[in-house]
Amino acid sequence: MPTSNDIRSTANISLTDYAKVDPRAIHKQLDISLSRPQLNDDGSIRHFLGVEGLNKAQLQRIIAKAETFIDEKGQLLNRPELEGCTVMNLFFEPSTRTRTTFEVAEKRLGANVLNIDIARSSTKKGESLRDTLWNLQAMTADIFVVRHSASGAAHFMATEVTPDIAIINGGDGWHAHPTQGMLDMLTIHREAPRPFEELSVAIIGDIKHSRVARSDISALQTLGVKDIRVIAPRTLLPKGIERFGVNVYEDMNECVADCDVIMGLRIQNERIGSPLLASSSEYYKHYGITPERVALAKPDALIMHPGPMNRGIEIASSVADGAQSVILKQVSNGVAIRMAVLALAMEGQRAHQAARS
Amino acid sequence: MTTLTSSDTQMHDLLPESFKKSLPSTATAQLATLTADREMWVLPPLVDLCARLREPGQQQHGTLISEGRAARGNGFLHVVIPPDTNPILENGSLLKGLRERALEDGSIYLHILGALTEGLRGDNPSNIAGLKKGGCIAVSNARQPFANDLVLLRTLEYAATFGLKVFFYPDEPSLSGEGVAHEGYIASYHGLQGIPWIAETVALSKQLLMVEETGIAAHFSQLSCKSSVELMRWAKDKGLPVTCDVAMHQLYLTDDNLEGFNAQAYVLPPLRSNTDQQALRRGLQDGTIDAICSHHEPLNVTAKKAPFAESTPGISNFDTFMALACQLVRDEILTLEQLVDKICLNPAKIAGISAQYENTGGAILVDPNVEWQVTSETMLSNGKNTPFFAQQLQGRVVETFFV
Repeated sequence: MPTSNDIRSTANISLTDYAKVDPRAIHKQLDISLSRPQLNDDGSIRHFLGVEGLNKAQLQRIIAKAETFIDEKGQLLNRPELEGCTVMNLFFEPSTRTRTTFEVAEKRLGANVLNIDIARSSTKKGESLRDTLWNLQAMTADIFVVRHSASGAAHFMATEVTPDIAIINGGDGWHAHPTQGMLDMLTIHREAPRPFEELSVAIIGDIKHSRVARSDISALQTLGVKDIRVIAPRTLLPKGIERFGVNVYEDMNECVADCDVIMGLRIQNERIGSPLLASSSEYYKHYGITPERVALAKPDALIMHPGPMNRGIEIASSVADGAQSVILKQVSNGVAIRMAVLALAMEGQRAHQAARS
Repeated sequence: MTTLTSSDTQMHDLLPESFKKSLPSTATAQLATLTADREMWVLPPLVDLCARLREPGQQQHGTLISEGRAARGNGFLHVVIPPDTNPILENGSLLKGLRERALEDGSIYLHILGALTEGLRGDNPSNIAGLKKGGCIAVSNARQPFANDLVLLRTLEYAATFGLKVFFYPDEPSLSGEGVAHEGYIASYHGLQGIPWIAETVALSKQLLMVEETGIAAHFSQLSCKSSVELMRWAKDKGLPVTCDVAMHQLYLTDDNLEGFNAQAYVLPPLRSNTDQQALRRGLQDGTIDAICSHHEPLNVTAKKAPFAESTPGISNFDTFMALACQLVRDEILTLEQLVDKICLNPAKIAGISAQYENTGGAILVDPNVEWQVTSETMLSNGKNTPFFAQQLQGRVVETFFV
């Protein structure tokens, strides 16, 4: 006799049967189902939608590829791997930093670059996302870099709109910011004195609304980091955070003690004085990355922040500009990582189409 | 009890006596000669406490013709619709015409919830006496908010003056906000904005207290949370004049169906957790939950073709309703007798249409084990929006005997 499970779900196991199922198995199943559309059969990427579901070797391949664009002196190299390709940067949400580093990366790869500020054009006229994308596709685009306020937007484009165009997720809602996640991994890989397996990493701030935090946590776990600590007031922690495989702290000093990496997250101005947060001074007092707190971490601990920073709210200026800070290195690594995922996704997309024809 | 069917033990005749009288002789004859080589159920027609047929105002998703056909084909003869159509159902003199059109175009009996407040804006009562005269069965503000608690209290008092029942879809908008999914691990994982349990339970608690204060009879539709079942249990123990229902899909889907940003599982109230689902099932068993509605919301194809939060919420439920109902019996969550109460007899009582229900009579024949695949072709509804799409289900209405 069939049971209710036969009827109920597209999933193999009941994901909400918390008592019975290993949370890691559930997490893995979600990862796999999100990741499937971005992968070719041989495991190469043809879109870059998220780091979830990519294995260690796949992440290491991206890091290794990025390092081929950096010389011994740490300078970025130009390599025309996307010569003749057209990349369209579709930013449905304003962004300066991510968009600029993508543009630099694309130009260093020799691509034709088009920046389309969709927030102010077609969607305002009521055109659907699908129609906008199909029109741009008809203009012979090869790669779409997309930033969108809706979680799952890049995933939707790759699965339901333009699967034959390499989609690079430049940030979707609260969900994922995988190039930021990978540039953080590249930075840790190059700057930390110890391998991922031996690191303790503290992530501080607005985890709930942060696509960066989600991508960082997932990539760190895949690369072998066992001790991931997070801290924030409860208003800025997502429901079910304990199931993300991280340790939640309530005391900032304990959270950073003996850490190898301290990552600050941006607090958006509109959250301060909302029901989520009382004041910037109280936030700084309890969660600010101060020299005193940095002193509790390992002496060679790295200080990271995805930017833009609110100095004096999330982080002390002296820490942001101090010797342990790798914040500007994150920026230049961001170009290398974006060059890597653009090149790899294009290669994967070509292989996919060749295999099909 | 007169036996409709041959003495075959595989035939389960659940048709009340009063319905048998009105069955056409051809149907009686047909049923009597049915030699079942498998289990079959003869049930009274289904009564749905909430479906959106999309007409008037949203005919791109469905019409009285298309959804009436889908309703009938799946065994629903009586369908209650909420007032949030376009135009809003707040003019008593127009209700008769709409009911007649539903009967003409869709061959179903439409039962209308009139708008509780003018324009569903939640500021002041609509012309409730007029709505009653026009034949609305109850009033409701659909899922629209009230300006404040005083408006809620006064509109209920006003409606109670005319002896009308109120239907609630409990939701506190300041707590559900822009949420699109049950606030829990699955929503957090996908970065989707959550709707917490308390968005429903805070509203429900308040509405129950208002019912106690005003004495108005109330029905609460599409409850989704464990705590809501507990609140209803409290209210019934206290003797308040309240009933409630659950949408059928809540009994077989949970937030895990959102996996991979599956917009087909986007519905409001949202699919909740496994714990909630178990509580809803128990609530049905112990009688706290009186009825199961379809919460049918057909949508055209493009409505779901957007990133999750930007797609339109809703599930097309008429076509899968009976398969899930059969599953409830197969899973021994309900007995067949209990099922008939929840999807036929109790909804008719709650809607206050029992007399008409008996008069219009009819019967449906259900094959609880027939396997079928959910496809565009097998679905009668214009809306193919269901998380069950492409799945193999068991159980369907195979014949209807409607006058």
